[in-house]
This record gives sequence, C-alpha cells and structure tokens, in this order.
Amino acid sequence: MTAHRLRLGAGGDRTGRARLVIAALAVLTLLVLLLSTATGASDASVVDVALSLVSGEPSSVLSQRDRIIVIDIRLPRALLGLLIGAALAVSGAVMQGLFRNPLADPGLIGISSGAALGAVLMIVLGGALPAALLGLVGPFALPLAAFAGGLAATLLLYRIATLHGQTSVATMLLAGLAIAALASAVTGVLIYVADDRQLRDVTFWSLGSLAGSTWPKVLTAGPVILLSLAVLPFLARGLNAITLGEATAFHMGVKVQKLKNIAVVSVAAAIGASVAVSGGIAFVGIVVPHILRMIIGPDHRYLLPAAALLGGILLLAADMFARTIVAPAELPIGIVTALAGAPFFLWVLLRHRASTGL
Amino acid sequence: MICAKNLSVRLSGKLIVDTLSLTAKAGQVTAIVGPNGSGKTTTMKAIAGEIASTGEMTINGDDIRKLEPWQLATRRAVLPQATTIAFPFTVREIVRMGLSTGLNNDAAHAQAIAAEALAAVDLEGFEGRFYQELSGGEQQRVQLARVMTQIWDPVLDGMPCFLMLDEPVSSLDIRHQLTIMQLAKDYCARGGGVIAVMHDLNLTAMYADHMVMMKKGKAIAAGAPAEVLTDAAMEEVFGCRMRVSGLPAAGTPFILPQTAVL
Repeated sequence: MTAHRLRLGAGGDRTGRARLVIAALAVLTLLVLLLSTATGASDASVVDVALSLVSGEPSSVLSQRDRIIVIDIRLPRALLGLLIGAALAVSGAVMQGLFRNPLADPGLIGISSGAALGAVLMIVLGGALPAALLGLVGPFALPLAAFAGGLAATLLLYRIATLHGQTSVATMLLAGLAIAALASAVTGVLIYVADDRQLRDVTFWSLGSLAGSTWPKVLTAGPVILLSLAVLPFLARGLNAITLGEATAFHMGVKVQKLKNIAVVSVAAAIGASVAVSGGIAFVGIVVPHILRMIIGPDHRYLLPAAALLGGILLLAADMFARTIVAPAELPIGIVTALAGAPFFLWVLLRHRASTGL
Repeated sequence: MICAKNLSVRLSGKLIVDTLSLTAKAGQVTAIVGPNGSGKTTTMKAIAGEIASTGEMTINGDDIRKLEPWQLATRRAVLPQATTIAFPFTVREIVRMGLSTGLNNDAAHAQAIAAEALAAVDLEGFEGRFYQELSGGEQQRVQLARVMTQIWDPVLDGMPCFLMLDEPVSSLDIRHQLTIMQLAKDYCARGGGVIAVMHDLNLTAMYADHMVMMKKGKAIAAGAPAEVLTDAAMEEVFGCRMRVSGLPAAGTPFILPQTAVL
C-alpha cells in the first residue's frame, strides 16, 4: 500500500502530523475562498470591493457593479462550494467508517440518488401538498424532501447489506447500484408526468452546478450542513472502534446502534441539503478521505475535520476550473469531479482488488 | 466473579447454548473446551453481553444485561477470534484505542500502558508497523495488547476485572502460546479473572484452574482439569478414543508444552 511507503514518525504516532495537516488545510481554505471570490468571467476586483466596503459607500457605478458580482454572486457560490464539498467528503468518511470499507461513498451507494428522488418528488408533486404545510417549511421543503429521500435510501441499504452486525461489501455495492437505479427510474417516471414548468425546475436543478448559488440558498442549506457536520466529530472515537468490528466496538463500551442512528441521520441530512442545492456531485466523498488516510491515518478524530476542509477546497477548486475553463460559459461541476474522480476511484479499486475480493 | 445460570441462546431458531451454568472466579483461569460447533464462542458472546440470551448472568453481582456498554467495558474486555481491519492503522493506534474508554485521560500514562502492553505480548518496538502488514499471530497479539489496556488494572475499585479470550493462542507458535497463557495466569495472580475458549487441551491442563467441557450447547463436565480430563470424557465429548497421560509407542516423538522451561 502506498500509505505504507509514507514515512512514519516515531512509534507510529501520527497525531502531530495530523494537526499540522489540518492547520495547513485551514489556511489553504481561506486562500481558496479569497481566490474564488477574486476570479471569474468578469474583471471585478476584490480589492476595490473590499476598499469600498471599508469606506462605506461605493465610490463609482463601476464599483457598485463589482460589489454585486463579488458579494451577491461569487461569495455565496464560494461559501456553498465549501459547505457542500465539506458535506460530501465528511459523509463519505463517515459512511466508509460505518461500513468498514473504503469504497462506501454516498454517490456510489445510492444515497445521493435517493436524495435526488426526494427533491424531484417535491418539485413535481409538492404542489399537491396542503398550502399550510408548504408555508410552514417554506424554502426548506426541497432540502427536507432530499433529506428524507437520502435517509430512506441509507436505511434500506443498511438493512439489506448488514446481517448480524457484519456488512457485506459486495452486497452493499450491488444493493447500492440497485437502489440508485430504482431511484433514477422513479425519478424518470416523475419527469415523464411533470408539466413544462416543473420540467424546467427539475432540469435546472439536476444540472448539478453551483451556478444558481444565492444567499437564500446559503441560508437554507448552510445551517443543515453545518449542524450535521458539527455532530459528526463527537462520533469519531466510536467510529474508530467500529473499524475493528461492531461487536468489538460494543466490547469497548460504544453504544453501537445509537452511534449508527446518529451517523446515518446526519449523513442523510448533509447529503440531502447538498443534493437539494447542487444535484449529485460524485467522487468527492471517496477521493478526499482516501487521500487523507494515506497522509494522516484513519483516526476519525483527525480524519473528519481534515476531510471537511479538503473537501471544501477541492470542490471550490473544481468549481473555479468549471467556470473559467470555457468562460463565459460554464461546465457542470459534476463533470469536473467525475473526470478527476473516476480514474482515481478505479485506481483505488485496483489497489484493493485483493482485499475486497470483488 | 462472573456467574451464569441456565444460560440459553437461540440463533435463527436453533438452540446453540442449552441451559448452561458457569462460574468464573477472580484469581482463576476458567477454560471452556469442546468440539467445533459445541457453542463455546456463543457462550462467550452471551456472557460478554453481545447477543440476546435467556437465564441469569452476573458480573461481580450486577446483572450483565442491565449494565451500560461503557460500564461493562470497565469490568471486562473481550478478545475476538480474528479481527480484520480495512484501514491502514498503525499498531500503536490500535492499542491506544483500548485506552479510549474514558478511564485513561492522561496521555503520558496511556502512552506508558500501551508500550507495556505491547512488551507483554512480545511485540516491543512494533508501534510504528502497520497492522495489515503483520502476520496472523502478530495481529492476534496486537489485539490482545489492546484488550489488556482496556482493563489494565486487574482490580478496579476493589472489584476484579475479567479478560474474555476467544481462542487466544489459535494462531500462535508454541513459544508465544506459552507467553500468552502465562500472561493470563499473571493477570489472575494480580487479582483479575480470565475466561478462555481453548482448543489445546495440554495448555488447558497446564494453565486452567477450572474448566467447563461443552457438547451440543450443554456443559457436560466442570471442575479442575485433573477431574474433567478423563478417558471417558474424551470419548463422550470429542468422539475420540484416547488415553489421558498415555505415552505413544517408543520412538515416536511427542512434545508437550508442560516440559517447557520459561
């Protein structure tokens, strides 16, 4: 394994290195955030905007325009990119820990498809819901529906793939494929019965891009993602124990079922909120944790925060690439992550061919 | 003391453990022996609180089913038959996990215990190695070190702690079999208790203070090895006609662990 070739510090202790990597990633996150708000099809200058913000009033029509571009277009997009990247990467790391397998990724095993089905259900059939209910959930209707879809898919997968506390990898991947196919088929049926306006909504949403990022979207998806990400570090020790097996985790004092419940609900919430905003973005959840395990090791106490940061950085970088490479047009970000992630995933599969027995 | 009365376990409708009673005292190595599929491991899992069972089951007087997982984790630690891990943990990281039950928050102390535990299982200096790169026997000893760190002090608040070991020497060479059994014996000498599922009857005779012989989920015999290990029991339980303490024909080499000079 490549991980084994990396030099280890004295006595197999990687906590110092992990802390260093997390600090470096935090700095890098800020840099990428700045860079992302500074680059784009327009020549709007972050420096000018910052100056005009400090001085209070926009000094000219030009800087007024720049201010809108930077504050209302680029900044929410960058923040959503960070949040969604973090949600995808951390969810991947948690699912992999829970399933005790480095191949479990919400995008691969049907969780994202389930969330997508929930979102499309809401777009197409949401009008039939009582107005009072819709008024109550308001802008959260779409994320909530995606959350419910993701949760249903996750629970179904867990029930199918786990027998007597042992999760079968082959069953998990195959069941994930089937769940994804089923969810996509039902989504297809819904699109078939949708009217023109709903169809436009579905198509626009399923393009899987950060292009439609607005402050209201940041404010609806942001709290859900932040809340679920805030819960997960408390599961780190338990997830470490579960890598030795669920029975062993119980022997070590972990309330396994409770931990699984919290983890699955948190992941479904984070993925649901992400999918509701940006559609399904594949491979971030598998690539980021895998790279980090090679550098800082699989200890979830460090892996989870590092994955949140690196996931945000990579997704934001992919988004910058997507919107500048063919400027003023844009590539869907899902294409960029798949182009980079799919070959990486194949490489992981090849490396693990012997141990997964697939 | 761990005490089970009329313990029964059903798995998928089949009775695996049948009204078994067992007592494991502090200061003693209690061995569970029996042929494959006789319910030894299932008995261990039930006593560990891991699977559903009926009958009475107590550890130091408290109902095992009523204790929270973290409470059980401070009173008993369990070594499974084999542990596979999908992620690249180092030996040190695995052993340190045993210390995460909340009783050992002092990092320097935890570090010292982890090093001592690795030395005890004859893996000194293995801290920086990757678990997946070790041999089966080395992995088993790493897991034993982790299990021991979980209840490092054999007596906690005046109550004995128990090591539950499922075939602890199954992958080990003969010298390490003796090392590990001696380690279990020492743990008992310091006030703790050990329950071990065993296949090697010679090691059992050597190290067990008390043993339970199982067949088809039932305890056929219980007592000191000298009482339980009889020609009749060997034939009845293992279906094998053989003589206890009999010598082979002259000229056939045989090696007994009893003759080892440690």
